[in-house]
Amino acid sequence: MIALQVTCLVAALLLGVEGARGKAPLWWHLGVVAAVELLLVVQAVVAVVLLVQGDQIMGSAGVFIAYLIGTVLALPLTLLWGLGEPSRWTLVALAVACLVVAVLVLRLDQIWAGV
Amino acid sequence: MAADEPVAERTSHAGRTSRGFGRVLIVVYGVFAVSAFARASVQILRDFSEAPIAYSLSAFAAAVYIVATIALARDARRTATVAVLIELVGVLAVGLLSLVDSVDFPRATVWSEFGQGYGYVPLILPMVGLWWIWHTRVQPPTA
Repeated sequence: MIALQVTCLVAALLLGVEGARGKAPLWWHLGVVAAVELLLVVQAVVAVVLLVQGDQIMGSAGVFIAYLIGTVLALPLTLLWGLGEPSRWTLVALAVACLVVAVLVLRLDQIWAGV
Repeated sequence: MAADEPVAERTSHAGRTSRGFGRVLIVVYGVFAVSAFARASVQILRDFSEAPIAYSLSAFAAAVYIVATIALARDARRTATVAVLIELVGVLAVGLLSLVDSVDFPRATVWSEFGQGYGYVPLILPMVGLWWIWHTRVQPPTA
């Protein structure tokens, strides 16, 4: 899942830079968000399938599920909120959300492994 | 960046904490509202008796973040100011106490060690919040 964290960080950097340059949200920005979201949904589905098949979470299952829901909801909610007033700040807000998701994915790995 | 911003865009934010940079600020507040609430819920449901003071503080912190988030998003400046001030006092007080007295604070809260577990964002956030509320005030001071 390192790849997913790196993807989130790259997306955060990209959107953050675009926002800092004063860009309003463009379609390709939303494409980046959609691509990251797709990966997050895939991760969630894989995690649920593994759990159903009997894999054990070493850490707290409740916290794991909560974080998993958080990774899936964070970007859509931020997008909804950010597009209420489309501006450079929409992109910065999405960049922040990508950073948060990167941290959540890291914690998911740690909880799964029982760190 | 601010220098070449159109004047109209800057003045239109007067009194509106939810606009412009406020969009980003509220996302960060929202993240803390949700995570603090989730953390407090887990702590209290699982083993409240282990650290009642710390866990009550967790719940209190969650409530403060929730109020601050909603107030900022709805441009409720006075409520937002009070909530953010409480947040600032909370993170400073709990930060200090958690260093001095680990007996009453055996379990972590969002504010323990000045929010170290959250990259010190809890310490910086109320300062940014107060700055933003001040920055979007309606009446500029007659200096």
